[in-house]
Amino acid sequence: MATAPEMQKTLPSQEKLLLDYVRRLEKHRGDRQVVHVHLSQLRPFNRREQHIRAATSSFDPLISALAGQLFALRSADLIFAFKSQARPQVETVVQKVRFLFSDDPLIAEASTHEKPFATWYDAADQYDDILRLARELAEEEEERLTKVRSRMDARSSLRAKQEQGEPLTPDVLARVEDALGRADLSNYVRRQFVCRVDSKLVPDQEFSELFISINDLRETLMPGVNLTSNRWLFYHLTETLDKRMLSMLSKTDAITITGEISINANVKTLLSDEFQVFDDNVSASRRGAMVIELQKEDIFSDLPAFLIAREYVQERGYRVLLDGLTMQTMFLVDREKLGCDLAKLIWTPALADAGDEVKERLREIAASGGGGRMIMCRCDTRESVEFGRSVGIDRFQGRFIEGLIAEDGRRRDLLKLKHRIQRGTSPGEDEEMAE
Amino acid sequence: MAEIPSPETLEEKLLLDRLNRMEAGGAGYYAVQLHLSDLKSSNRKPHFVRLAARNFDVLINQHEATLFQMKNADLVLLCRNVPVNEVEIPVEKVRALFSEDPLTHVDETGLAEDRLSTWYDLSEQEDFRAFVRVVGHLALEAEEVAKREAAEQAAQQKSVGQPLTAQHLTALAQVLPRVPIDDLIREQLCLHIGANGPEGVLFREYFISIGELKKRIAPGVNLFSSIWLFQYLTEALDRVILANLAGRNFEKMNEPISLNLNIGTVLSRDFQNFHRAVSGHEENVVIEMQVIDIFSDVDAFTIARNMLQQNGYRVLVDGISPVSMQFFDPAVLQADFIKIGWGKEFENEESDDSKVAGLRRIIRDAGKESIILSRVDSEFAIQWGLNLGITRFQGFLMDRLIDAVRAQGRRARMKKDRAAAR
Repeated sequence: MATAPEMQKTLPSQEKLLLDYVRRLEKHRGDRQVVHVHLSQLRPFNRREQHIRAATSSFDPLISALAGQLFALRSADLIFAFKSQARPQVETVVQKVRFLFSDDPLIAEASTHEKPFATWYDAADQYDDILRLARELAEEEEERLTKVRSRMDARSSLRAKQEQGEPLTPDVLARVEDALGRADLSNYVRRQFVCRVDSKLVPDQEFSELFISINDLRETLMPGVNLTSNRWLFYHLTETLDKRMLSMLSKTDAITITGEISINANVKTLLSDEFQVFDDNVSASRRGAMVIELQKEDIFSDLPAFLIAREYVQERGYRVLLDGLTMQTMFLVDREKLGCDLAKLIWTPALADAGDEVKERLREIAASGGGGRMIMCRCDTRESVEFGRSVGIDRFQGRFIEGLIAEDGRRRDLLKLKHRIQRGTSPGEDEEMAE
Repeated sequence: MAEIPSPETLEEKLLLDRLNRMEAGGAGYYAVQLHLSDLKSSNRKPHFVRLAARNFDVLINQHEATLFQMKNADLVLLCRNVPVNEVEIPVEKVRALFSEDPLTHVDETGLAEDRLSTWYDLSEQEDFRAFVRVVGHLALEAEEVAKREAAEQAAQQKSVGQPLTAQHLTALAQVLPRVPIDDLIREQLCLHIGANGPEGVLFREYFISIGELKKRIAPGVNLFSSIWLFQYLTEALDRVILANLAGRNFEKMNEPISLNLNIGTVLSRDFQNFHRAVSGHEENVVIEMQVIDIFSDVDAFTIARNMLQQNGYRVLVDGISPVSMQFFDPAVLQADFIKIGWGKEFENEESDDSKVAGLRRIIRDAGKESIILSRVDSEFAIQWGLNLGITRFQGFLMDRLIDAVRAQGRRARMKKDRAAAR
């Protein structure tokens, strides 16, 4: 959410406006109150622009009734200054905002949380506290702005814009798909391993997910496009890529595959001719070593078709993985009922903060079907693995796991080297035996 | 399939030829007919039947067996000296494939005939003659169907159109803001049905007729061919319907209204503008959101739902099929209403008591006042719903029903007026 530098030059910050307001407040301190709503303490996924917008608009009726003034701070915190007689209405609105985020630990565990959701001030006797708060906020913002300004010269601001990119529109998508048709995608195939990880953080590879790296593709084929800016167009693009992957795998020479692998697919793709061709090219014995990953929203968009496709591919020997579970959908979607062999839960730090009840339910789900069917993916920290293991999940995927594999590889290489050196010190024994 | 097969290449004909050439009845031969034509229409799709047929690949490679695919979706397997056990394997696989379909259910008592397959011992004269008759019928039927299909296919090619692509969307995005489509907004009533027929209007849903839209702006394009691109298109339509409804007078509305929106739209500025127009009448507005949208971002849905409900709107979850209710509990979504789509495929649903009991329980737990059966187009559908404890219905039959009731009311009023005038 980088505000363009020129905007910052022309518009005073909300923090500065707040300080001005509070200074002028001194005269009316007798019948004014202030509430500070600590939205910045919410989990990041609850702090998206649309959420904050929903929260700020809750104050609209009060503002239009001239009962008070709202300051939406850079940190996402809200400060509302109002006439004392409006206190009951303001309390209702704050309650409403709190309800918007009722799933957030900030609210769910309010009693154990050191920071409250909202702090109330009465200007009559706390004017100095209010002034101090406003000053601190204004100073912090001023400091941040100077930092940003010095860092953000024209070139880097341009780069930031480019990194966020041109939004994905149908027009851009059409151009991208056209370019994809002509590109050799085999260079963009990446694999990421799903590993069993033990208490000593030693990874044991189970299977690897093959996918076309959208990030790498973006850099070469469509620099400057923010592919995730529209969900539906992005899904369509991934569907196209999944099909290309399938046809690459159908031509055995396009990419060499070893070991157990997983691929992404749509229900519709599994019922298509492309999949039949792929299936014809896979030897029966290989099918048992293959996992097909399906997204939950795809499954639920046509459940009867999914049931038939799942039965069919499982019958042929493939395993089916339910992909894309989040903390919220975890309890909504039942892997066992859907008949999927495996499921992937996306790691977020919020899982670790979610409380004992969530952990307990997660433990139950992880143990279902004899355990070993739940994979935690997008693990980028040690914390993710530690949390997973604490609820009975022992299979992981993500950048952190790739790091563990590399580390493990280095360790093995060292060991090999050590053996070789040891052999070297007792000269020629093996060779003599061989002769 | 670009070409229409000539009658000579119909598999029914080929099979009939084989039978005619069999001398002395066909010693060692037997045939298995799989009645896939009796599957529910939702399961009788060509790609599903193709999957079913593939289960016989191994058998055909290893034994003297031929599979014929009938035009009505039936599969016929002709075998010579193949162990019955080996044939049973793929037959059971087909049964498993359609395990959700009543056709494949095995009668526990063992008294009733298997509905999925019929076996003919062709070395027996009686069976042979019966089978030839069956295939003869199928061949006649197939010829008819082939002729009809040839005509329909040509017509359909025109009406369904080519699959929707990103290029089309680009063109549509440019056209949409410039073509007035407000007149394509349609309405449909959702009624509360009691013991004595309609007891009240729950709401009136406003939506853009996609069929009409297609005719107007994309006659050669199949808008439904990609679910994701279609969803994208609906975001643009949301803006049209919101702007249209924001222009109406909410004071004067005597029935609650409902509209189907993307979650992204609910959280956008367009909705805030609408919200200003509604101001004060939120309880008369129902916002519908689709399951596919909800599943793809539950967090956003939760925020949108809370925001709507807090402001007094009522929230409806749309796009649930009776099948999906067996796989997730819609009550978890904490919506005010849940809309279940009726489909013809439930017409042939046998009274599978455990399933009906299961559905009834789910509906009771979700609160039967909150469940709406939509796409109701037959008395049967209403009966089906009532049997499960559903009392809220939507569909074109409801609109007709209310028209009839209102006409009756008018007649009654007129009678009263006349009586009073006397």
